[in-house]
Amino acid sequence: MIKKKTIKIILSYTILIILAIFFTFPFIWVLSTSFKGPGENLFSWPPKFIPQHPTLENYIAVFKRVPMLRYFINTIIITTLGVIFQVILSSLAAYPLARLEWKGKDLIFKFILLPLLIPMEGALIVNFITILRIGLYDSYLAVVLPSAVSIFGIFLMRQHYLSVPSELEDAARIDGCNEFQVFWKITFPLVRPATAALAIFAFTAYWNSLLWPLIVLRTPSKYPIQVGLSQLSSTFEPNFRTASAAMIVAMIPILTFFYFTQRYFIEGYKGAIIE
Amino acid sequence: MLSRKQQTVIIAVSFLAIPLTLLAIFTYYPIIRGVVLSFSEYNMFTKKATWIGFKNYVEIFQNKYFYEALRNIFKYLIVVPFIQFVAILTAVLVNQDLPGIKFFRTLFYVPVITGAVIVSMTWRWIYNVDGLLNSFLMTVGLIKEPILWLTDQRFALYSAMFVTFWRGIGYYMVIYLAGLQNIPSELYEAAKLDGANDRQLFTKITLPLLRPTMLFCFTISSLAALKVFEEIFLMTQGGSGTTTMMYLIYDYAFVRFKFGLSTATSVVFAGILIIFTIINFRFFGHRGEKR
Repeated sequence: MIKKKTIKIILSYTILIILAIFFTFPFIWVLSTSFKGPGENLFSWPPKFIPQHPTLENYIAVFKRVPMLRYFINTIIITTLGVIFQVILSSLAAYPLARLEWKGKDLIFKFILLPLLIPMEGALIVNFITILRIGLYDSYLAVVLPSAVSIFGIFLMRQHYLSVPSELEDAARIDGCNEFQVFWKITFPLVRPATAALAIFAFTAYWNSLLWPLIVLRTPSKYPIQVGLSQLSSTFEPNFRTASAAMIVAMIPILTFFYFTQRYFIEGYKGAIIE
Repeated sequence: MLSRKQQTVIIAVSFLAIPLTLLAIFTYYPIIRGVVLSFSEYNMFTKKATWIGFKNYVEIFQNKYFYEALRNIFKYLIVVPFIQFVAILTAVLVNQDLPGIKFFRTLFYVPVITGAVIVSMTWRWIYNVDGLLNSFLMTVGLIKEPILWLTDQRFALYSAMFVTFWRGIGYYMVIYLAGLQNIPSELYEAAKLDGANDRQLFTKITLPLLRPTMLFCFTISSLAALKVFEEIFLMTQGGSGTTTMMYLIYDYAFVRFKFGLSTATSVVFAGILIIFTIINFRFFGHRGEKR
């Protein structure tokens, strides 16, 4: 009996380690390349993960030749704007759909969910024209505005609002709070885990978004990190070492972020799947 | 004085006003405008659209790349069962209570969180003529000449598909993990008391209760496969026979600036996706009834 359990654990770890190598070896290889000097063969097999002459030259080159800091600042501006918009607007929109009794509530909710059933591929072009028309082309706002309201966010927040007991809200109303105060002081703080999950989904989506920012931004000094990297890859292609260093620098913030917030990812999906 | 009911409506409207306005401009309007635009020729300089009837649609169906894209997106569906199978296995594996399991979960999610740009750049080097893959295969003796993974017509699409597979697993693993953790542990305990073994627990409890999650994942994964864009855009630029519908839509709009042609393609593509979804639901629904 005990023996069987031991075998199971050993087997589990063996598969886990094989999978871990499968998912990370390209990144480990990039990491080691980023520390290698000019004389080393990068593509030899078996790959040499420990550089023979470790150097920081590649990292210095990245910061000298690429406006990494600028890209990071842009990414942070875009991501922050996007997360704030999505969280606040989804929370606002979901409140009357879950907590108030009024005619047409269900109809409006269905209407909001409708676009989820329609493939939205054409929206890219029309939204691009709209952005040009309203004079937002080449601005941070252009990047976040079309996705400022998340239908998934409204859905998620509504589900969580539904589980808030109405006694708390009624008590606040009796105490003389108006509806907005009830929302802001009672209901909204009570669904914090859902808000956190939504914020994190929005954060990763904006941080990694590529196509839309590429379309609506023209000035390279406004590029977020993903767009910046994708544009540089062609100039950098021959120089794997510098490009590797750039990729590692770009990866660090999002990996750190994920490390600290990972439990919300699973919690967020748990909440969304039940429905 | 307003009645209570009217007051509630006013409050509801004030909460919904801004979100609904933005949805109207950037979500509902594009649906209608996109269809109108597909019958027009849009001039970038005058910003005027001229009605040209079905001309765009005729042009789409005369283009050989449309058929190539169509073939490719359906070929791309092959990745779905592979991703889902490995994702379920991985989720079951990391759902165990073992020391260090959180660390492994994080590692498996790294390809998802890093984003398409870095992943594609890395794999482009692995697929390079003198890249890691060729150097490995030649050292082992499986091939004599290096293979042009991303520029040879025979391999390019499959190389891209492998990257999709590689970076998709972690994403679905987390969803399955959430699904697994939603299964009440009492069920397992009760079954164990009745003398069920591990395999029975898996086939009689885990799999049936994971079914809704599987249905959800298969659906979004197949739609994602049909809509594949980033891997193609970043690794082959639609070359070597790897065009997809989304790449075609992008290429018409933002490389050639033929907005009418691009929206017409997206209308056709939306139709294809709707038909696919209906067939998909019929198929799964039917299987569900049998059970």
